[in-house]
Amino acid sequence: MSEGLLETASAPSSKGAREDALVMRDVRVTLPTGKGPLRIIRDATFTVAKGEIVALAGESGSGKSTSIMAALRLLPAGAQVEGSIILDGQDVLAMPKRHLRHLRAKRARLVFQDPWRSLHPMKRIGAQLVESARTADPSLSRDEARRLAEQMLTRVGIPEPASRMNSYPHEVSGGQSQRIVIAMALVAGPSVLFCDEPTTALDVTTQAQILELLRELNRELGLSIVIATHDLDVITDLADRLVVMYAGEVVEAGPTAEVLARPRHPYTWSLLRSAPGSHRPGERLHTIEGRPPGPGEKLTGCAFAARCPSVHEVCRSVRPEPRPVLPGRSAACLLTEGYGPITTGARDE
Amino acid sequence: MSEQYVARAEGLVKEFRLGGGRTLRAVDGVSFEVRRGETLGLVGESGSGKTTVARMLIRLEKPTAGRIDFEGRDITALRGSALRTAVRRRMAMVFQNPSTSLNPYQRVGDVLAEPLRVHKVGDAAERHRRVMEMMEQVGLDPAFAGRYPQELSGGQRQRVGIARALMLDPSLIVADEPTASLDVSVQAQVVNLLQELQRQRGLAYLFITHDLALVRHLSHRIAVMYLGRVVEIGPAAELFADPAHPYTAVLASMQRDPEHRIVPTGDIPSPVDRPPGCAFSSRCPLATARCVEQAPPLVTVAEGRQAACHFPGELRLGGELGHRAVPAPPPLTLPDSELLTLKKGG
Repeated sequence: MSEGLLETASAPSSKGAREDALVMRDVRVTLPTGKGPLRIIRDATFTVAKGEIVALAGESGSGKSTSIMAALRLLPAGAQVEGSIILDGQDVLAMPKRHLRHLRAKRARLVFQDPWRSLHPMKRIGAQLVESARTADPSLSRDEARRLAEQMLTRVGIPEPASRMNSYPHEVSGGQSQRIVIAMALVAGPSVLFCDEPTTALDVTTQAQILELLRELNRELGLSIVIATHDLDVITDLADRLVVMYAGEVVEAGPTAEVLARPRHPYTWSLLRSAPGSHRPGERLHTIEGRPPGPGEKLTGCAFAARCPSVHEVCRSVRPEPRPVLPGRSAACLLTEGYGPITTGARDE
Repeated sequence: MSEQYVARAEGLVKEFRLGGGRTLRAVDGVSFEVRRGETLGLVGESGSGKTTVARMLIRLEKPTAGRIDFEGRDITALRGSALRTAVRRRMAMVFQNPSTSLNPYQRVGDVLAEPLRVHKVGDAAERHRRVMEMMEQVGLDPAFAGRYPQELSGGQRQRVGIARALMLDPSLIVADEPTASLDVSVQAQVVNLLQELQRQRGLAYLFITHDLALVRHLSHRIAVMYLGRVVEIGPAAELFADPAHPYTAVLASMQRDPEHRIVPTGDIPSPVDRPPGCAFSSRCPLATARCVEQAPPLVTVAEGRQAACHFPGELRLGGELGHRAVPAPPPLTLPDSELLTLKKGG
């Protein structure tokens, strides 16, 4: 693909890497297998500005979690990553292992879906927080780290933090565990927090509490947050910007409220339309027939063509690149209004 | 069988014995009825006892106390062949995770024929015919009969789970989070299927979920559980528009704009040491000394509605009832001529 195209596709990042927490450019993740390569991410480009909350939205297999793992270079052995990933101003793909460990311990932290699996079951909560703090900053003394840990537990809303430090993970509830996991990330003083479905395992009221906490941390600490989720409520509540992924590609991106109100990609529209909340009770739900292409399938045109309600003949043979369609918004659909002229032909896979 | 309801639970209690002489009261005096052809939604936090209630209703779990009536008959203590004919043939369950509730070594056709075989319905040819019919009805290609569950997608597997539940033509289906493991677009297909089947067959559903938008969409009535008790029960629309119990108000507020959300502090208390008063009092913005000391009984607050609160309806909701605006379709144009020539050229 041509250089000129790249520039238009990544217009929001043109301010320069210093102002961006994460820049993913033409990232391609491939997993070679005996049956041929699995294309898990197919040329994804998006940026997360400093202090911004960005939701990577999509169904299972869309590549949202893999994008997060790729940004931290936590992919399984054998996965091939191409393109460029700049995290906190540093080139993740070119980085030596030692720097990478430091980056993951300090600057960019990850919160998983299941808080129980993120905590060591046989270690006291305090010890785990201290370990996290001292890995990020080895110059901290044990006492300093303990004080910091207590402060952070207070900050995330754990009652009686001093006595909680002596508890084991099984003694606290799910909501509290997720708060503790977030505190464990915060003691390192990160600039980017990655969250992979952070509230999926939690109850509705607990989810509301955790989302409120994340919003406060973003506002008070200027923390950049990248959150992978399939939950429309989480997206609506939390994200400044939305990146919609489908079959390993970014199909649409833009400010959350605008994308939700006026989607430009037929997939985004179909997805929003199929949520029960946008129907009258009892009304037949709109569905998207069929299912997404698997990672092993080779695509010739648009990944959504087979399920798209407005598919045109060209969609099956020409691959749409993400293009700016409105100020601050991009979409990868040949038919959407505002999509620029085509200069490239078939898919280069 | 002239009653309005198909199943009815009265004063259900379930205690589990823990070590050290302690007991965990998972369900504490739950009463409700499921009417013919209706969907009763059961919502509540994890640990509120909703799954235990469902398992008792379908007699997978024996109640410590209470009574269950089903199709006009007391089934609380049925055993053996009476249990099989009165309950197992007439009630079925759809599980949350279709991947773990299907035997990976059993072909789809055998999965579906098994209920018929167990209950000695028809001969092999008859069973085969019924399996094919059912697959057709739930939207599965009959060619899948020879496949194994792992060869199917999540949505197809859940269709198998639903078809299996329907094989003996039950009157009540207990569905425990049947769409929780599915993606939104696939979930919509399964929800539509459940509603179609209900209309065609007059099925009743006890539908357990934590997805509030979904439960509001497909329930006729909703029962809200909190720490082992029903705190409110009533028609779905009224419950979300004008909740009587503060916990229901909290849930209903989650369906409104973020600025009108009521986010409670703290967590659900432990069912091992139940607080003496109202279980929600520790998190309730309205709680008074009376709430802490005295548990409110479930009483009728309006026609067809019951709530267990000393101050029903006092926690009011602000803002509009969240009805996610239907997005406008994207403006699409015909691809430009350059593109078409490119295609012809290529």
